[in-house]
Amino acid sequence: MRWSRFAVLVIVATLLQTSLVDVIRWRQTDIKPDLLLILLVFFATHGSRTDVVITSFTIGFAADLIGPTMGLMGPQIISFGLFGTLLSDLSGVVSIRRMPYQAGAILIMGALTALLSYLLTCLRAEHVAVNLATELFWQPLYSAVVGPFLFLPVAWAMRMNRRRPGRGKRRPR
Amino acid sequence: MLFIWFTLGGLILLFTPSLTGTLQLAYARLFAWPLEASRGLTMAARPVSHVDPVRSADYEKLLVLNTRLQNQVANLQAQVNEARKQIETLSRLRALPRWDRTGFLLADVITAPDAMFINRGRDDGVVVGQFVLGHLSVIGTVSDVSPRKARIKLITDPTSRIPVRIDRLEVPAVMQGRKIHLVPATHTVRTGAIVYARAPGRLNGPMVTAKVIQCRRDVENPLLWDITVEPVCDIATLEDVAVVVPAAGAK
Repeated sequence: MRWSRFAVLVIVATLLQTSLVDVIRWRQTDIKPDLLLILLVFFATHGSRTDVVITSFTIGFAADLIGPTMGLMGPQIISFGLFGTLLSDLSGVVSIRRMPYQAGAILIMGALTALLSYLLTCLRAEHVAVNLATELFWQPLYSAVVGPFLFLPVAWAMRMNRRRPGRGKRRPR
Repeated sequence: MLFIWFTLGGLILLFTPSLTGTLQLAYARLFAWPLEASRGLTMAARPVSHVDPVRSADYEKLLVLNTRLQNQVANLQAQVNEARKQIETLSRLRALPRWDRTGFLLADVITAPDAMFINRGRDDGVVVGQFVLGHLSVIGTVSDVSPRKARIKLITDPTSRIPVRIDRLEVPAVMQGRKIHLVPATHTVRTGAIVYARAPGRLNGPMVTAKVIQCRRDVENPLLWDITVEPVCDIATLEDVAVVVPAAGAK
């Protein structure tokens, strides 16, 4: 893993998420693709397990930094870290190579992380102003549509091939 | 193991709101410039929402309405500022020890050539004899009351008589205009000594009113001091005063 590239990528994604992504939001709603979710799924399906743990929690930290609730961090760190690691374990069993599968993974991961984040936020905040339908379905769906197309440039930027390191590698004869 | 440590870190952040707020603000400050630039781009790129055309007559009406609303906002803002100023004055008065149980009625000064009037009267609970404060010192008493106005007899008025105490002397005295009488010459009175108004029942504790500017033997009765005082507050420049009224709920 090229960590400096990863850091730059996460910072750029975070900055874009809080600003320029608004340009492609769906009409006048709050539905827009979640770049950090897309990165989470990418790294969870492309890195070694240790790398996935670090990248998932780091992306969760970035998502919490730009979270909607001021003064509340932690829900996304935990949910991104937990489900990113789970997806990493699962992708060792189920292959997520084709674009529809990648889109499906983004959709499911988006819904699960949003649900866990919401529940954890309810633990700390008295009132949580969240549109559940948007957070649990529409935003992950939009991310799932856009996400697989972003995997290629991200893989190029990270110089990561599609094959998970250390898994399925054939020994040279 | 790494997973457990990171999860613990997340939980710690979840339950330490002070730290998280700082982190979020640090992020916003650190990336203020790129965030601002990209927000500007976002605003420029966002399509303009469709607006129904407004007719010229309606536009004129809306302009008039807008002006009226702006004036109303300006008036309300002025009232809010005035109320804030009054709250600050009252807070300063109540911050004095033993004065927290005293009521104060703020009033604007209406200047007159030979007397001072205030814009509060009988309707506001003002009665004759109440003390009036200016810049946290006694400047006079209410001498005449009408429903919406009251006249103040200043401590500098030759007919004003207020029971006072000079500095730490435990000798009752009376301040009449700019003079203090009935202080035996056996006591030491220095120039610059503070004079406190005393009126148990009407003033909840001694309150500064004047300072001694001259002290000499009384020509008529050499056993007494002839003391000249001046107010500690510049009464001529006062714009508002506070009338000491019985506190709400006090019997």
